[in-house]
Amino acid sequence: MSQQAPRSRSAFYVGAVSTAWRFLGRRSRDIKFAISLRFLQSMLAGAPVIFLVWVVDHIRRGTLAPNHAWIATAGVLVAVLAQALVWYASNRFAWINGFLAVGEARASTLNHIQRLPLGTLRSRSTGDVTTAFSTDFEMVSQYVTEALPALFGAIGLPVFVVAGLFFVDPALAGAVAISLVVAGPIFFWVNRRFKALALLRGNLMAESSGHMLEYVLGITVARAFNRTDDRMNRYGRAVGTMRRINNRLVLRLLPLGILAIFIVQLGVPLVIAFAAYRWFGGATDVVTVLIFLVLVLRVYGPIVALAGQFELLRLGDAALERIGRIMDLEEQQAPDTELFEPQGHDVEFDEVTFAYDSTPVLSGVSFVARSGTTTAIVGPSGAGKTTILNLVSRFWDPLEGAVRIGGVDARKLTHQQLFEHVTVVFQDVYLFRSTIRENIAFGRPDASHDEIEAAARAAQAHQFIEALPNGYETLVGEGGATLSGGERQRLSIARAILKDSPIVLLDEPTSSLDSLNDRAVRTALAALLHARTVIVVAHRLPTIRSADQILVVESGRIVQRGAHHELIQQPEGPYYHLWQDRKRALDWRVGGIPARAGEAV
Amino acid sequence: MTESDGRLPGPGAGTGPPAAENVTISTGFRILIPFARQFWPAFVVAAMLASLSSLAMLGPLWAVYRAVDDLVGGVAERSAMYRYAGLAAVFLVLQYALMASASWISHRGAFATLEQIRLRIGQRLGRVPLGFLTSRRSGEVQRTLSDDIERLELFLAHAVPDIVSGFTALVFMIVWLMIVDWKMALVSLAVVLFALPIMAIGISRGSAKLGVYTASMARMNASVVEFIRAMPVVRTFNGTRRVFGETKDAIDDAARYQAEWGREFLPMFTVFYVLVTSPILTILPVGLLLWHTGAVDTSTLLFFFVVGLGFTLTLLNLMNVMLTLATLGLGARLVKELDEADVLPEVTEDVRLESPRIEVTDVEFSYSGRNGTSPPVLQDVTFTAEPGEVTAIVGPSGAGKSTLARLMVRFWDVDRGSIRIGGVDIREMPISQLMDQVAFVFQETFLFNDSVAANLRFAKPDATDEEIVEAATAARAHEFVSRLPRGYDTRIGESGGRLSGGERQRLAVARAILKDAPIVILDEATAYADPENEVALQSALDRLIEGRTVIVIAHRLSTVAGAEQTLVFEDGRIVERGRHADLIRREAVYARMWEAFTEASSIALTGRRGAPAGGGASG
Repeated sequence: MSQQAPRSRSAFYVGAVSTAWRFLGRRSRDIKFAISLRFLQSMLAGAPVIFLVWVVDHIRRGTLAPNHAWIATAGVLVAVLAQALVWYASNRFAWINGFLAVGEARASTLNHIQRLPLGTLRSRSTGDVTTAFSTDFEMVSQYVTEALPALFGAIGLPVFVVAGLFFVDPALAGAVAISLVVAGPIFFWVNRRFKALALLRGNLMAESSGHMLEYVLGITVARAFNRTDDRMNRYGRAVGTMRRINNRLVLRLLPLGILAIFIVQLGVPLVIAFAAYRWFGGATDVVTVLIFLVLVLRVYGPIVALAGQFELLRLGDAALERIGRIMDLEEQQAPDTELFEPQGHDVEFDEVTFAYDSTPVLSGVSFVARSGTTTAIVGPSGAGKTTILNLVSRFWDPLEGAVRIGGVDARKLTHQQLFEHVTVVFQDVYLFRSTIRENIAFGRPDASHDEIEAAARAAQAHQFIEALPNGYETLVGEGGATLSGGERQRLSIARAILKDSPIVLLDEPTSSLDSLNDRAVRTALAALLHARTVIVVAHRLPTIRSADQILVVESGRIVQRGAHHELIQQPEGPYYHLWQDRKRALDWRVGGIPARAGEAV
Repeated sequence: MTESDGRLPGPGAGTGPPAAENVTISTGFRILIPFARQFWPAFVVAAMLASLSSLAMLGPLWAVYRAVDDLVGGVAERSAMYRYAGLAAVFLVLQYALMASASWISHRGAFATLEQIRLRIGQRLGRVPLGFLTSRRSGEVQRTLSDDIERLELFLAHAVPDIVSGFTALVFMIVWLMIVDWKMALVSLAVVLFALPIMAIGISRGSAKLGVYTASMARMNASVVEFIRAMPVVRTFNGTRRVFGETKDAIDDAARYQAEWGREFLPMFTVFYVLVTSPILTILPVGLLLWHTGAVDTSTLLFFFVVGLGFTLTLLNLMNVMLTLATLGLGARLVKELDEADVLPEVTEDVRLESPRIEVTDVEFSYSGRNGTSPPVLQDVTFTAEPGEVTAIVGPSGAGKSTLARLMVRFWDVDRGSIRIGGVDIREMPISQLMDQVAFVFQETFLFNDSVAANLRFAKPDATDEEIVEAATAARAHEFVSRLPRGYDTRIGESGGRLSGGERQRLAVARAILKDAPIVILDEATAYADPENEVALQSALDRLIEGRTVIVIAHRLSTVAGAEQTLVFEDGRIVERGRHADLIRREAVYARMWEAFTEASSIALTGRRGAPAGGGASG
């Protein structure tokens, strides 16, 4: 018991039903009410049988009079009407409240997501989160509006019948109940086995399914090296293995799936035999036996039908657990009201340590980027350069130490304040499905047209915008006008220029753009950076050389710092090698005519 | 009945993915039958066992009826009663044993069919033009191979036994009722005949609202996707409150419309459900009336009281099965699409090739084919790449450079003109021979989930360990491979085997070096490698291209300034050609690109204006 819960276990998820209640919040009362109505409806479904047996008994005794028939018909009609009303009310409560409650749960999950650190959101693939949103909530919706009511509906009739019959003949009632009692735990056991076998199947399948997918991924390479047949054979083997695993597991699953409902149904012969035994033994009368015989056919039906709902219950359970895992992600704490006002625009790292999961990324990083200066970060890939930028913008928060902006710990600023001071230039451009104007003005919706145009001009974007059919009113983003990569980048730079924050964080593009676009983008970026406090992960020599301060980062530590002219004079320092390397890379030519001295750029 | 009438739109059906719209059980079957055909005995046997199981299901009903009949008739005997109980038990065992066997057999048939589908798709993929598998398509194919086909399992394995048993159960039931007494049978059926039109009215009244709701659902999903994708920008531009509000509105709308649909649909659905589950409504009064007039005897009446009451449950059951299966056939359509992808026409006999010269003559190409609608990507492209020389291809993005490189290894085939290697049209030599001639290194590198050595040996299965190390050394990969926990036996991707982009690229180059092909095509081979690893990658490439016919595509113009021949592409055409120095002197397209390149290279991204310009390599 003292064992720690496994990591994958969600804290939000506390078993499907309780988690569902937690999600439904204030509407869970309505759903519970709907479920009890469903229980009632299911009991009412047994009521007509009472009139039926009453009639049958009169027939047996030869005492059936027309008014008996009338009474029975009226009784059945009333029972069916009552059942209809209760069924309607139950579904009305379950559907309407369930739909609305799931909508509210969606909104509150979204609210949770927007409070996560951006880093968390990025490290989980967006696909995961959006699937949770569409598919998983659908499952939850079916779970609360259909599967749960059906579950309780299915046990309503049996409970009513067994309880009612108990007064008529307790021993026979026991016979009706016994198969249910035996099957109950088996249902749960089977359900657990199903889960376990599904897990086992996943594990067994993982390898061959990996081989299968690798075939698709590697098809170009296979073709290039004339190894298609070889890969195809391996693929064929993987696919064959998958079939064998499936065959083996279904053999284990099938009897399980049938076992429980079979046991439930065994109640039918049991009741026939036991009723006969009691009747011939004189322990009960013929009416009782008739009642039991007619009811025993009806009583197990809902339970057997429930087997179909188990799939829904399982899926709903799994969906709730996945959503629970998202709800478990820790929100980023930030004050709601402004407590401190940053003084100036210095960015200060004070003994900052950071790790992803348990992999250390930065340790003891300290530096100050003075207001209005440029700090270039250089170093080998994987050294933690980008992480430094991500800590300023609070994509992550440091494990130890602090990042201060204008002397204030970034965690003590509101998000609003933080991003009034800081602009991040993203490598992957995101454009909203909206007009160019609204995209540029996203950070300042009140900007005038002149301001927007000035930003676009500075970002080298005005010209191509004017050439578009509707100019600044042209729709972009998904389904909008097609813009080239360079043009999209310039729009996002215009957006940043208009936002006009004193601090800019930039991961210098390494350029997969053609030279004309590259020049335009770099010119635009230079305009954005002008006269600001800049922290740049630098790749290109002019940027590195003209930075006020260069930080050389290796394995998460700053190993050298200073301006270019200082660092370059230490031939044994890492910077010197780095600089020589970059220079040599620039001089490289693909074969052909060797470069003559002085011809290089 | 139209297809949409066939579904029972409970809340689940209404909230299902809108993609399920056109997939019905019958289209699912049509697509899958060609694959499943060879396993027909399994499915036929499964169907027979399933219908026998439904027949056995009637056994317990009959037993109970006989018991009731005996009791009411006053002829009940102890032994007969026990016999009924025993028979009910035997029939139950039969019913479930038959059902299990049907299910087991149809599952086996389904798994065999899935294997067949996967194999057919795999073989097809081995022969499609490589251009078919764009990165987007590759993702789709993978999803289809794993998830969609897996979902077909449910469809294939359950459709046959469930539909057959659901249907036969209903038919047996009706036939049995008819045999016993046709008048009473019609009376029992009457409620259903009432219920169906009511359901139809309910569906048609709900369908308008359902449409609105489905549309609002799609809007909501789109909005959420956008919200999450835009999150970094939204937050850093302080737009959270605004955008959150919009998305929340979309969510609220969807929930509201769903609730509206529910309100509209529920009344009719209630009437339908209650009618279908209550045949007692007609059986009791009409039965008594007929019994009173002597049209039916006591025994028959009791039979309908016992057996007729439950028969509509088989109808509900069948409707549920159809409903569930309709959404499961979803994967079928993608399977069909993949199975019908065009394959690359191929010759099998090796041909004699001259020296590895590439001649491109009057090539025209568009992605939609010769008569397609999309504009040509390449037009009038003619040039020759000589052995031992470097041919550079430069130009703005979208000019068709990468397409040309890929045409040379038959990612697609040209629409007009020809590409010859060693004097032979590449369409007239076997793919394997073409691939022996050409090594290519593109931006994206793919390494198999296998050891480093196995990945390198992929290029040359009989390579010795020395050759492997030699190639790795030439590609500047030996050093980092030696540092891996298990050296060349380290599995790529496993802990310790995580490689940076530049390292992976160098392994790909080593693999190409081992292949030792006379022609090398490089498409932006260094663009995505981490800049910190660039020097190493460059020397790797130097070794790869030594003495070969080289085609190289580059945005960084300085890297190709030494090419024997530079082709300048614009809008799919060659607009200039010559050597770097000649092209500079012409002061046209290339010269402008060069100017932009040198300027871009000197721009410092710092907060200061007037940083020392004209930097770059010589600085």
